[in-house]
Amino acid sequence: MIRLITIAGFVLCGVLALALELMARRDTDRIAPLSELLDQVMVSRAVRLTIMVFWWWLGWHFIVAAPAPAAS
Amino acid sequence: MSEKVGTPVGARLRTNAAWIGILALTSGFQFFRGAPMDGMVFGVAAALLIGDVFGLLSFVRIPSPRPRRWVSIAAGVVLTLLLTFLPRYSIADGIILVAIGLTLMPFVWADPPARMQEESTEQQDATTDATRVAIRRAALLWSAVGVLLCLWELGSFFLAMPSPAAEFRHPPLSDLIDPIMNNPFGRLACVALWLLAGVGLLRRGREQK
Repeated sequence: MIRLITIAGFVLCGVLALALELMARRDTDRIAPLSELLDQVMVSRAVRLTIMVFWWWLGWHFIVAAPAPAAS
Repeated sequence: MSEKVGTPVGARLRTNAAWIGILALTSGFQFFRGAPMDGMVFGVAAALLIGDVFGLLSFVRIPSPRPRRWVSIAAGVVLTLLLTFLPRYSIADGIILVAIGLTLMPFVWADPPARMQEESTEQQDATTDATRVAIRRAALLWSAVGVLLCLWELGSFFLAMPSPAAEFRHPPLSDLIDPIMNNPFGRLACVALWLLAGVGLLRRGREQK
């Protein structure tokens, strides 16, 4: 049961992100779409570097870095 | 948004402090969780931004690279196949990821060409108050979703620490994605998606509609 709640939390985040983007596309005057937001913020080097480092790390984490052995 | 060369250090620090803080905090957490390599990556990125704020890296002037479209597509296809079919967690995968990071660094560091920056400034000037509010609202809402995801992952991480049984009850996101990554088709999709996301992110702020 607790496992399901944990998984549901992650699913909820995905659903919220999807809903946010759909809402933005339906009414761009209220909420800017993600692409427009990124166009504004990615002009800054600090934002570019931060976002791209997180993007790169996702690849590193899931493809290269082997998980630590489970605690006993 | 882009910091001009003549911007005072104080103003640059105010603009970049939050991003430096995020990178430093993440670096500290990675060291704490026993991933020093990951911690170093975030730490170096934070240090680079601090150096940039204080003008220590002003001698680094990188022109914005403009790769041909077919080169990007060919590289994307080759990298997707390599990262899918090479053994996961192999040294080869590590070398490829490091090469991707180093290759993309000039793209990330270089400011958009002056023409695009001027267009961006003109666009910002022409942006109505309503649009500004819509962008600010989007930034707040996306940040809220991002923070929620981070907190949930962090909570799972700490709750999973005591034992394998606790880890089963509170699986971190990586445990949930692992079965997909262990399947060749799932890995192909994830790698392709990851690379496409990277290319998409790099284009943002540069190619204005």
